[in-house]
Amino acid sequence: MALLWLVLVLVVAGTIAAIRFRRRGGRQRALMVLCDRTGVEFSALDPFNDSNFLPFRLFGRGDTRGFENVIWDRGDDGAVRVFDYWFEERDDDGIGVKHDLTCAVVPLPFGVPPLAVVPRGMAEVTREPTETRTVTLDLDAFNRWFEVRAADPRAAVAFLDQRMMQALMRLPLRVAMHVNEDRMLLVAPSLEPGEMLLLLEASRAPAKRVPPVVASLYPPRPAVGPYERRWLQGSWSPDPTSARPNLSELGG
Amino acid sequence: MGIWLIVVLALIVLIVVGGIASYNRFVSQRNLIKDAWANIDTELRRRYDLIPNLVATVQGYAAHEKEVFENVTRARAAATAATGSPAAQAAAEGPFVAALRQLLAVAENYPELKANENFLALQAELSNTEDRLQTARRFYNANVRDYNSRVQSFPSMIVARFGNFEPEEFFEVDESLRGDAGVPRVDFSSMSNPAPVTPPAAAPGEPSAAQGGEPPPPPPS
Repeated sequence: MALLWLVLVLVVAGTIAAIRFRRRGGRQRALMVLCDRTGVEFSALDPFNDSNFLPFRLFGRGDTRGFENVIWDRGDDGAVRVFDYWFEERDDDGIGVKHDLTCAVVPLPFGVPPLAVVPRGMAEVTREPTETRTVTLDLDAFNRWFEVRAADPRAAVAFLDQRMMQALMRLPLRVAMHVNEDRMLLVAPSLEPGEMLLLLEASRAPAKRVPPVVASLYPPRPAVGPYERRWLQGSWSPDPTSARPNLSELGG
Repeated sequence: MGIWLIVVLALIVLIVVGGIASYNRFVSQRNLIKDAWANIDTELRRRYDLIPNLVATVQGYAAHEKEVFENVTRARAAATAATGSPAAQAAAEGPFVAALRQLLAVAENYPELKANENFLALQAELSNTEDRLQTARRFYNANVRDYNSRVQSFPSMIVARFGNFEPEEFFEVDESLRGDAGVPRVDFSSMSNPAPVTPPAAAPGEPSAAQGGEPPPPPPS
């Protein structure tokens, strides 16, 4: 009788695993077909070697993690890309909880302290675990929709002007936006293939609307060298009087 | 009887601890407002420091526009000397911004000046400074708004009264400098040679439409 129960449990577990595998494979195939039709590059595995070095703690969470289903515009260098990210956290009893997310990464021409703009009511798993202060902005509708947390409230005020707030409210998907150093990260619970393509297109809009004053107040981090230490101290800029971002480099 | 005494003592301790936390938060907010005001002051001084070079550059091409130069120099001196409350500083900024706009409007009449590298660099720096000033002003007003809300709300208003925390002033641009739909007006009535001039796209001291100066549309449903 015990053997029968064991066999039954193994069959059920195997069936669930097979269903998940087929569902995952089906989603991947659907994304591959969509990318082929729309001229977007696709890779089942992460072909970029900088994903683990993105300045977000989210990519260090969990006991195991992985990047997959990466898409980016054809002819682009992949600086702007959308991918699936998963991580699994195990508790003391060894029971693992897996989290599946879809992320978009966009480069920025400046280096701001950590900033998070999260839709109110969004799942906790998408939140960056950084020490920040809540910031209230001057647009009530925006404050009702989003919660803004920033390590430097001045950076949040500089980054989120009227145009930027409108751009975020007009995003077609419900995503959390995190900014740290020279990267913007848009995060959402696992999206459907069509929504991933939509996210790739929509991710450029907030980056294009970043106020030019942010680059003047928070210049990009220089390469390792004599100026890096001064940048870390907040006392150096390549050209503080005319530092304006070249947003055309983002394409689109 | 003993239990009631413990409850009363616990309530007193809670009130005292809450009061101390509220007082400390008022102190932090007031220091934050002072820091934010210092940022505004820095950007204002940065803007004032650009004016002598700008006047000298324009004078090289339009030496006869003496009244314009005198106006902007006088307004700059008054604004630089203004100290004290944000309202007093904002009041001094009004004539200065108007005079500066007039100076830039004069420059529009001289194509050689508009192509001058030094003038272009100064104009770019002035525009950058205006953006930074706008950001500093928004940051300052946001902190003042939060602080004033606490000073005027119950129960923090009780702590505010005991601690002599008074509402702070906002730093606001004079509404009389705004034209229709937020486009600033330039007064040419005092100019000696009133030629047709195209107003600058981004007037100093005022947010342009590209910077989000127009009111936001209602959020989509």
